[in-house]
Amino acid sequence: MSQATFQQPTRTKGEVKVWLTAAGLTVGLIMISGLLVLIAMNGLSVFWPDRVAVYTIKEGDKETRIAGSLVKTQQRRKPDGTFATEYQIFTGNKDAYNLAFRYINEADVIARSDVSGIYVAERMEYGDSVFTPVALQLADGHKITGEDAVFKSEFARLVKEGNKRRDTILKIEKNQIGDINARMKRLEIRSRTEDVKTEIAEEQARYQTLANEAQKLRAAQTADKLIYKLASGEERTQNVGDILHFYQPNDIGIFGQTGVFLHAIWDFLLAEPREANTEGGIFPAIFGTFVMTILMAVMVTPFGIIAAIYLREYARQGLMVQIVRICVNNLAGVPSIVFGVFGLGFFVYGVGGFIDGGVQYPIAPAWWFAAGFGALASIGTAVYLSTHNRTAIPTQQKRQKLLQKVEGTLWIISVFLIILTIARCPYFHGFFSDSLPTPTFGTGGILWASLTLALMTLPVVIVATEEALVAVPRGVREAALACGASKWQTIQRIVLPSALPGVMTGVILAMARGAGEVAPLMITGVVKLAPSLPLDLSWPFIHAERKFMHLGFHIYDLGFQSPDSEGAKPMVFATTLLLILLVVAMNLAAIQIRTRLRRKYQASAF
Amino acid sequence: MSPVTPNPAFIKVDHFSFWYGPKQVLHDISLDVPEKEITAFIGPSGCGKTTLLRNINRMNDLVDGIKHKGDIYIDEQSLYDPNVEVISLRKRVGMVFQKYNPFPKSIYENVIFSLRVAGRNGKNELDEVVEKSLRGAALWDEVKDKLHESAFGLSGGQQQRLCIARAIANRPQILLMDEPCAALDPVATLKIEELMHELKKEFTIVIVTHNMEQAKRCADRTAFFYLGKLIELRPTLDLFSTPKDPQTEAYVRGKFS
Repeated sequence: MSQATFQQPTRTKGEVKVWLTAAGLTVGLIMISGLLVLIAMNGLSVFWPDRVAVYTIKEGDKETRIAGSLVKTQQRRKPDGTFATEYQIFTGNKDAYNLAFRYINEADVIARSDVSGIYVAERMEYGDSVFTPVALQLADGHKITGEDAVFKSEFARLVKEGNKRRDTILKIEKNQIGDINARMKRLEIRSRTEDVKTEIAEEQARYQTLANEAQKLRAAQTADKLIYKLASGEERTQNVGDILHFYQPNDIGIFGQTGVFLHAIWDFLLAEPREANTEGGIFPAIFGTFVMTILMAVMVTPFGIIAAIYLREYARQGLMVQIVRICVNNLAGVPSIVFGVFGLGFFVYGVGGFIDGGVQYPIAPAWWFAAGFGALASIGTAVYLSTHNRTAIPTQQKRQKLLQKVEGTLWIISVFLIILTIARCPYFHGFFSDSLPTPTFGTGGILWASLTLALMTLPVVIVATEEALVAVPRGVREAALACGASKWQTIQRIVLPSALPGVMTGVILAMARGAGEVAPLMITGVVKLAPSLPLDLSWPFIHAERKFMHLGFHIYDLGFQSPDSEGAKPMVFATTLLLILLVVAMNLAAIQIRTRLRRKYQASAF
Repeated sequence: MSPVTPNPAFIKVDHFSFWYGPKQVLHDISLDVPEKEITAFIGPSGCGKTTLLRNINRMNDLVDGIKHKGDIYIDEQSLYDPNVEVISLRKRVGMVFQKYNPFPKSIYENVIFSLRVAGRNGKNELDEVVEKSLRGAALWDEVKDKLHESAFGLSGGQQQRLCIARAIANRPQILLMDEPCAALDPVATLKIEELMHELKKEFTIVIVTHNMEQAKRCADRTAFFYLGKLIELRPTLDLFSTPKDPQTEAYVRGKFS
């Protein structure tokens, strides 16, 4: 043996592969963080209040002045091949200019000045306005000019009053009048069979008082007016009641800007959308996405666990089970829109129509009773056989196998008969037939959307649960059986708790997949603008038949379906950022649950 | 049910043959295990001693494709009678495995597992059973103030004693032990052997062991198996000092293992 074999080799074989794996991971991380940073920067920059400048530009042979904040600078190729710089300015005042954004050539800009005393106000219609105030015209005849010392405080006070009044109007109209409408609807249905004239009159009287009150408040909203001037010199009037918020972009320091920034984010998260979803907040979409994902997770977990337990623990591991497993795995590859179509056909029109209007093609009562009785009889026999068909005597094993086949056939017959009994019952006319032809459950809603997505993510949960069940060590199972536990008791008390961390992994993956899917939702219950939330304070608190808003669909709608695509672009980025954060938050919660479970059941390999 | 005088054939294996699928693992075994004594099964690897042990509480039912001929009786009751419910059989026959396998629960919950699955949940009864079983397994003093901590916090020897406590919690008549000290150090092994001498006053113990010294120390009677056949079954001292069969002699002299 030479000396050389005892020395350290100068290059260890195989180390290069470590670098390769690190490089792969780094590339992935850079891509992900790059994407997140891009979205974050574009998304958050929407909320930051930029300084406003006044530009004097050449328009033809005239000079005009426009005020606005610089959004983007870009190079545009001129026909002769040279480049011209152009600016995209946010001018607001969609009612005056028809557009909120404007492109101006650098060459046309004569002068640019930062002026103080400019206001930016968020309005109920036509978006933001950039202006210099002239005067406040109060309802009692007072006039406060823009130079007046008390102008700003008076303006702030009036805007606050207006916001409060608007909330009251909303409460009256949405909640109280909404309740009256619901009661009227029920009374109307009852009026077909009973005399409820007095009650209807009472409700109408109540409605009248509320309507009058709302009317008065609405009038008050238009009482005070703001007279303001645009940079071009044009004077316009605005109801103070329609202004939500204002600030002075050039006169606030860094703290002021941060304050406006945070206020804008707060508004975005908690306010209702306005103006075809291009202004205002997206709270209903956040809420809808959250509720739908939770509902989906709640529905997929029990089904997935039960299916996996049967496949792994109870079914005889032969060809049939393998085929079933292959089918389940393939289900994960089906395009989501196909699930949407299935959800529409089966859940919405099929089951939903059944719930609404009852049975379409009933069978004669005599046959129905026979089917029901047959179902009960065959279930009873099958259960009896499954519990009593046990023998260890070798000579009786042939008989046992025959009876097992009989039992299996009986189960299949039972399922068939039960479906027949339910779907063809001549006595069931639907729970909501009074409201027909307006469908209640026979149209898209959050329940059907969640069910469709639960079906779509079922394979993920089944596979993860099966893996987790297999990972439970055999010794612990044998110990449980040796202690006198039945198979189900072993599964329920020992195997399943140990497998829970693995199941949670499956649920996390399912939630991540489900929260991001949009295509199946579009046909099973998502809308551009939902009038109410699926969960609220009116009975029965969970309104499973309501349509809802969803962040993913919101992004699609804003990006491709809105009339003002430039105005919507900032919202698209902000919504994307929010969707990512929401999914991350839900995943973190699920991971936290899994870690806690894992610590409790150390024996598990997951 | 058990008579005042110990039954000399408490477990009776009667011309028992056993197949795993096409392979015959036990050939026409007949032996008697006396009540309240320790009987050891010894023999080289693959001789069928663990298979026979596992048949006594019908743990082999878990395997597919098994076949048997002959019978096994516990206290004159056949194990393969069609009326026998395997779960209640396993409540009368406890088992301790080679690799200790406590459940991922607290010590308390581990010991009373057999009671819980039988539906007995009265707190007083459970507390009593826990103390009695842990004392019976010589573990009470070490764990009495951490009963509700995880069982995984114990050492290997303690975990195996916990498994013994779990096996005796339901007061079974028979205790089957499949190489219980195989995964333990000598100190823990000694503790468990001492424990077995205490336990045999109340339980009938059958132990499978690879360690002939252990059989010499603990067992009252020893059975030697080879290639699925019972070669010799005699009181331990006789088997080791004056073995009748030449194969037994070769084994106990260490000529093969």
